[in-house]
This record gives sequence, structure tokens and C-alpha cells, in this order.
Amino acid sequence: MAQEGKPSEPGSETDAPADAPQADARATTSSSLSADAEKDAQVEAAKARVTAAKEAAQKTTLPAPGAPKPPVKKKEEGPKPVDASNHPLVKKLKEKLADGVIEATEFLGQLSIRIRRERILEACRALHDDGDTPFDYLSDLTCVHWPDNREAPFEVVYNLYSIPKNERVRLKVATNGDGIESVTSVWPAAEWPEREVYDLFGVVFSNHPDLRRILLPPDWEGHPLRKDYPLEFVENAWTERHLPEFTDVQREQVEQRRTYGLEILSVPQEREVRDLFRAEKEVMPKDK
Amino acid sequence: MSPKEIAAHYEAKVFDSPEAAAQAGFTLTETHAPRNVWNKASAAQSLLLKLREQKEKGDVKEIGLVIEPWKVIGCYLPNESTAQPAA
Repeated sequence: MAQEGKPSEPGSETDAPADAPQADARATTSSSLSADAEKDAQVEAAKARVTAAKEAAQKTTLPAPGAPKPPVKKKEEGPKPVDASNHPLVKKLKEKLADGVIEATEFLGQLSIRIRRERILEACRALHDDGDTPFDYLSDLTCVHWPDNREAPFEVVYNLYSIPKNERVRLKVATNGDGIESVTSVWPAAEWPEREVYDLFGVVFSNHPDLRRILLPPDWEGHPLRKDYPLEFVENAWTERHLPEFTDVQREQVEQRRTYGLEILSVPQEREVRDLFRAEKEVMPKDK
Repeated sequence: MSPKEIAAHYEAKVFDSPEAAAQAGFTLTETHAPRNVWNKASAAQSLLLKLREQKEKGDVKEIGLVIEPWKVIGCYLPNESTAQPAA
């Protein structure tokens, strides 16, 4: 193809659409027309070449090298929980508790039963004393905070296991934190997990033999696993009461260490750092 | 969820700097300086849950969040009816 800005060679096959304007240009040159007319002819020739190239590109079916790839086909959605109302264990529970069972779902072979808060002790007792599948082992007792669920923001979860039958079931109870019946009378092992839930979420268990904090100090304020409690270490009333005071310089040094990821503070580590500060020792670790 | 998504969930305005929030008439509240993305999301949620309570009580008109690279600050637009001094 002829270079842009130059007239094509006569007889060039590749510039077929531009032949007529070129012929015109030659004619005008021979008739001593002005340089402007020559330029016009060159522009016309270039336009004709562009049009020809566009038409040729439209005819080709292959995508241009820089063109975006076609969208990737979406993967099929994963498994979803299904209704398990017909599960034999659920049927048995419904016979005993009637309206105590709110719903039952099964997800990847795991059975979950939602129980009314008032009936949880009965449900646990029924499952524990069941003749066919006695759930004699409380595998875990934990809690989830759902702050958007205003009426019952806490969901206490009981993971039960039947040792003789090798079966598992999960009970869920929604509560507002005011109170839920303790299951220590059914499984004495529930004592510490219930204390942990009380400590970290603030859910109160009625009829618990010894309901007090288990991980945090007794005079700690707040419940750290609630969603309205920030994860990071913050100076609070407890640290002010129990830990030595920081000077402004020390506080800034700790802030710097935290910024550079040198300090992952827990309370005992915080104490050590403060001891180091008090002894006026070098707290910044040397590079190895 | 990221702090921005959390702010959208609680219908809070997002600002890039405290100055921008102050310019829009918002009052700043607590400041958190999280060290990683998980702490940042947690800080944003804790701030917004506290502010949401105030909004539901009618103490504040609108809630917001200032999101900086290493800082999250809560802010609110005072309710005009409560902000007016008693005659």
C-alpha cells in the first residue's frame, strides 16, 4: 500500500479504490493546477484507503487482538440448605415439643433445627434422653451476633453429638440477650461454654450454677465478640485502672511500633512493654 | 464486607477526609486506627452501629464515615430540632 501523504504509483493493484482520485490528481498536475488541488487529491486518496480497510476489517470474522474477551460462563451456584421437616429426628422432636420447633434445614448432610427460646431446655432434654439416638455429648456451645436482627440479635448454637449412633445435630436459638435457660442440668459440660458466651457476647443464662466471666477480668466493660465492639486494642477504663500510665512519648512509640507491625499487643504483652518503658530500656528490636 | 460496603449497608455517607466531613456539616465522633483490613471493617461496623442507635433515637439526622488509609472516623449530621438551643 502506498505511503500516506504520497501519491500511489500508477498501476498499483492494492490501491484500486483510490485510482480515480489519483488519476484526477495526475490530470490536475499535468494541467499545472495549484498545490492545494494536489493536497486535496491526496486527502481523497487516503480517505478511500481508510474506507477500503474498514470494509475489509468488517468482513473478517476473527476478533481483533486487543478486543475484550467474551464473558466467562457463570459457574453453577453451590449447594443450598433444604427443608428437613421430614427428617425422623425432627419428626420426633415435633411430636414432643409441638410448636417448639420453628424450622429444620439440612445443608451438606448437616441437620440444623431452630428451636423457640422458651423450649430449648425441653428440646435438649428430649434429645439427650432419646432412646434411639441419645445425644449424650455437647460438642460445642457458641453464639453468633446478628446486629440487624433487632428483636433477637443473638443466636445461641448447640452442636450435639450422639456417641453410640455417630450422629450430629445443631440446635439454634434466637435470643435478645436477656435470658436463655442454661443446659448445664442436661450436660454439665455446658458450664464453661455458657460462661464464655456470657463473657464474650453478654447473653445471660438463667439457672447457671456459676455465671461469671471466664476469659476477661471480672471488671471488664463490654463484650468483645459483639459486632459493635472494635477488634483493635483500645485504651479503656480497665486499662486505665490496672495498667501503668503511658507518657505521651511512650504512647507515640507504641503507636509507631503498631504502625510498622512490630507490636501485636495482648494485655500481658502490653504490660511487658510498659515495664520496658519504665525501666528505660531499648524497646525497639534490633535487625537480625 | 469492606468499610465502604458496611457504610452503604447502614446508609451512611462516606468521606475521604475529616475536612470533607466537616465541610458537609458533619460532626466527628470516635477515631479508630486499625492495623489491618479486618480491624478496619470491624472498626467501621462498631462506629456505625453506635451511630445507627443515635439515628434511630432521633438524636442525629444523618450518619457518616470518614475512611482514610489507616484511620476510620465516625461522624453525624446533627438533628436541627435537637441542635436548636432551648428558648
